[in-house]
Amino acid sequence: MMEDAMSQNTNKGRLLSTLAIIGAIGFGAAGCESTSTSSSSNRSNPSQLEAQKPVPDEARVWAENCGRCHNLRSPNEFSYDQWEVIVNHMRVRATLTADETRAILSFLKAAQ
Amino acid sequence: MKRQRHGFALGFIVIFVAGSIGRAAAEGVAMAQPAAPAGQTNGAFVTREEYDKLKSELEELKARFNAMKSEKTTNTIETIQSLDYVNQRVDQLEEDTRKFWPGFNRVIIAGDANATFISQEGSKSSFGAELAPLILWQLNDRLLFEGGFDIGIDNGGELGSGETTFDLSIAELSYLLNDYLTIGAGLFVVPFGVYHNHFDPPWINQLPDDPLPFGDGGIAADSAVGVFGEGAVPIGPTVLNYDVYVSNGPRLITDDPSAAGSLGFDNYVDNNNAKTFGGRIGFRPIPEVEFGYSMQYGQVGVDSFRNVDAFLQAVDAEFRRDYSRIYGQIDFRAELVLSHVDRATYGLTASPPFGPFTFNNNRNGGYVQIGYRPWMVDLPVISKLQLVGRYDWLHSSLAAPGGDRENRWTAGLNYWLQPNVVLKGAYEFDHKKSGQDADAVLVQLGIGL
Repeated sequence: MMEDAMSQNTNKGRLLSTLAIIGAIGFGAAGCESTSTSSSSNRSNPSQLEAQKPVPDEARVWAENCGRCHNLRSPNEFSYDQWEVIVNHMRVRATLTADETRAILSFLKAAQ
Repeated sequence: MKRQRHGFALGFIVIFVAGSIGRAAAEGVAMAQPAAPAGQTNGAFVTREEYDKLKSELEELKARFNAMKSEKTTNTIETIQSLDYVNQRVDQLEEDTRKFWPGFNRVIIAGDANATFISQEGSKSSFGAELAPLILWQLNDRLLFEGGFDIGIDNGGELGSGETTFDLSIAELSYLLNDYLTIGAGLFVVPFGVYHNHFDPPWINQLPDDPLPFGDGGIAADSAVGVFGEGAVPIGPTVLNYDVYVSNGPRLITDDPSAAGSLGFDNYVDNNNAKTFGGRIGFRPIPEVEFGYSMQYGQVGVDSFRNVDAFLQAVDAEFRRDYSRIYGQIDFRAELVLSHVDRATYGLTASPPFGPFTFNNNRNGGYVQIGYRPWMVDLPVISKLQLVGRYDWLHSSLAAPGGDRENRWTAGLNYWLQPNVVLKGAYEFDHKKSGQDADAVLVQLGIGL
């Protein structure tokens, strides 16, 4: 039983170390030069804004928040009324701020 | 003679008026013949009085004409303004109606579907399919309903019945109280960790199956019936978000010899009067990074196990960013889950070696996953590929029934047909300390509706 507990503690320690190392690599990489924030879906996706072009705030908020978990869907995939339903639900699911929600909706309306 | 003079005068008037109204009244006046001296009665000229009279009549006509033009312009402007006002009012009324009147016009079907092939060591290979439609309904600007179903085929290995399964996965009503608080009730996805809430759908999950602590027989809560509150608060450039909930909570499994001491999370009918509470607090220092801590605590036993509580904790970290130097995107996700169930004795009526067992059920699990998608490479086939690696584990006490230490490495290759359609292939290297290893080949087509 004691051996079992010790082994479990060793495993836990090893796994936490692994987490820490990979986390450090990941966040170290985050400090390196990167392109403007966008998420990939395919090359024609409008979210893949060229690195040097200034990105409007609302488009940036859309790309950053929706692209954090999944590929960006085309703004033309749904009507604005449908986007309003989806984005308000995503506000709850992904705990977006109210300002982020409004900015995303504003971008999607302009992009229709 | 007088008649002839009148004839000349009439002709002159016609020419004069036509010329005046024609191109320029001023020109017309300039073209007029000089009036005859007073008392001169030459038939080619009009008298001064006649000229003045005609001139005043012309001025009067011009004035009336201009007045009519002005009146018409004013009326047109007023009409346009009135129409604009009416249109604005109609738009406003439509907006008001949408805000305050629940309607069925803002309903959308979302969700996901997948078709999966699994060939796993120790099991027969099998195809499977699932459909998980989500009904999103916005009743008004603040009231939202979300309903979801999992429709699949029960092909759980050799014991699967092959019948269609139909489960209610979500039925929640949310109310956006203000910018910082949303409240809700119903059957909801538990915000314990982020996998179930954010990464579960097959078009978002980058590998064909769930990480061990979040899959079947896992240790992380997935859905619950109860009430919740959540929100997000911007703090300068960062964001702090939170979730809290009270629910029926999980059920302590005591009657299954192979799973005694584990938690059943599909406990939609409470087995005791005590409620479980939990929540998650998340922090986004920059938009691409989020950290979170989750916990859940509650009584899970009943009858002779009524003093048994369960305390679950999880930490999570997510990161996603594009890097031009490596022509693509890095996606990093990691979660650690700790599950503690109070010490209890199970299988009191069994005889050794089948019982009784007394133990604290301390389990832990987690996963670390990294994905790379070279979408900036100027070759369509390459830009749609994604490499994914994951290490996941689930450790439970070997003293517990069914206890094991499972470690798994997974290598995956994805091809994104569309932003919401992905073909995934993966190989899993599985190692169990006491059970049979279960290496597997998985192929999945995942679609986001």
